[in-house]
Amino acid sequence: MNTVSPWLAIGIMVGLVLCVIFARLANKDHKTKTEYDERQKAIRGRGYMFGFYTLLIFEAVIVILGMSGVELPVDAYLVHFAGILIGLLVFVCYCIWNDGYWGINNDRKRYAIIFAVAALLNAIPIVGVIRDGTLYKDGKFSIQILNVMVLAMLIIVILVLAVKGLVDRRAED
Amino acid sequence: MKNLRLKSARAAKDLSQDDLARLCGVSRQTISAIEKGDYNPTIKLCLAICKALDKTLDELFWE
Repeated sequence: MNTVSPWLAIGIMVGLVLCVIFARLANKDHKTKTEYDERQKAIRGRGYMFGFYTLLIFEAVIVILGMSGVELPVDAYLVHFAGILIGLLVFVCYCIWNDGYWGINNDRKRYAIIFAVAALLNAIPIVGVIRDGTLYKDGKFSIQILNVMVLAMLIIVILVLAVKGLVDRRAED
Repeated sequence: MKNLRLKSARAAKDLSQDDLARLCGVSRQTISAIEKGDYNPTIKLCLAICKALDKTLDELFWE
């Protein structure tokens, strides 16, 4: 166990507590759980399936690369984290595109603020390492690449939400 | 196939898709999908819609 591990565990726990608090603040009924109707649940089920298949394919590619002796410029745990994010992204994009993302009790404006805060919190460490020039050192990316990946995912999600909003508005017209 | 009977029953009650969705406890997009014929609702949701619009299952959903 290295010195990062306890801090990482604490960070994850704090993150989970913050998620619960943010969810209660952002939902109209102040419940932690987001409510979905029957159609949305079906869409989300299909979304989970596509996300799972994506993760499966990603991990298979990583196994093949590992067996072929290809060395990636990131630590193994970061590669698996990237797989989780990509699977999650597929699930989220599928849900957004099929109107299964926003629950019945979600307040979209409050969630937009949470997205902005999350993007800002992920951007701060990136600015620091870019300024120090330590994002890529000795042929490997540092742990801050996690923030880059999460920020990239957030930007993609926000873009998909914006495009879907535009498409819906045009359809209504 | 589009469910025009549902659309006209909703309009007759002067309800928007959003209003009907709130009465039935579903999202507006789900009501829109049912009206467009993109989604087949369960009997539970059909009954909730019928109650909200004071109609029978036959009047709204039977072909």
